[in-house]
Amino acid sequence: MAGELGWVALTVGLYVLARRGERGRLRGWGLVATAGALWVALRLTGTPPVRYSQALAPVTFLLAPATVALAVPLVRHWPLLAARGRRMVAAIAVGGLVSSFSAALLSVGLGLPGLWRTLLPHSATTPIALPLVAALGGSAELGAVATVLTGLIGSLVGPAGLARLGIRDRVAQGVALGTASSGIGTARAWREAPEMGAAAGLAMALSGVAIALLCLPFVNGRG
Amino acid sequence: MRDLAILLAFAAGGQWVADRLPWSPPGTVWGLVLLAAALKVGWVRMGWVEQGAEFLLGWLSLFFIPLVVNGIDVLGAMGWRAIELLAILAVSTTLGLIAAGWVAEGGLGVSPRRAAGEGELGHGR
Repeated sequence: MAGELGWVALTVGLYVLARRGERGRLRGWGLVATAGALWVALRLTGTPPVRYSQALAPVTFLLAPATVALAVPLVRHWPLLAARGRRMVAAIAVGGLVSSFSAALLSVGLGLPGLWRTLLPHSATTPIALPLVAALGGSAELGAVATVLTGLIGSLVGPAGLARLGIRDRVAQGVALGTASSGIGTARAWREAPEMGAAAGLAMALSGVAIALLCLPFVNGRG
Repeated sequence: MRDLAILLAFAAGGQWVADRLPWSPPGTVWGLVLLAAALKVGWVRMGWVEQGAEFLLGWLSLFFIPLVVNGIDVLGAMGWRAIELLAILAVSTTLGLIAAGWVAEGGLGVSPRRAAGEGELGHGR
């Protein structure tokens, strides 16, 4: 079917359409809908996902400057974030702890004892999570999928879900999204409000470090 | 173009730092910290990067699409195990969201100091 530029054009086009359809309860579903439609297109055309990933490399490349760009809302909203510094640090530590260890305990509880090594760092941003999965002796491929799914789940629960659970403050919602669902959660937070995105970006960076520290005691327990 | 060039330069600088440390957060996190510091001290002016930053952040979800497509493909090949994985991740991620959000809203009674009236729902965007 399409060449490399065709896949880029199709991806951008589908995503623009999906965003236009994101209203009411569908808010936040654009990313999943676009990816699902593209996966169907890959299957129908017999295109290997690895070829699609190669075609989209210029798009994925922009993740690096986009992550650095989070410094802009961070600096703009620094007084608001700094005023809640202690609370944010506590929230990031508790959120990272709960997310990591609940996944590990559920894995063991469901009779999947080896899976905890892959899921323990699932809430960390991918560049932090994957070396941790390797150090813990988990599956790199499954670890990559787990971090993406974690981000998707967090972005779908989203600010509306958090508000229903009684968490209504925008900065608190941003901290929750950045801590528990890293980059994709941060992207969702940014679309809601700049201060939410700033809080999420800071939480994503700090929770990655916190989760790494939580995992370190288990790195030598691979036997 | 200047905005993107500066953001790319900080991303590269962050990677340079990460590559030289034995264990380090990813280069993009260093780039974020370095740019935030440069903006705070005035070495980089907000006007030099804000348009490019807002453009990139506005499309941040788009850049994740190839990773999500790959995730769906791997899940599709996992069969029944995909349901178990999704269930574990859904529960643990939701618990992590609630725990972090609850503490950030003051659930543990940590430091009630906050900027009055800011950050509440209903301010609109």
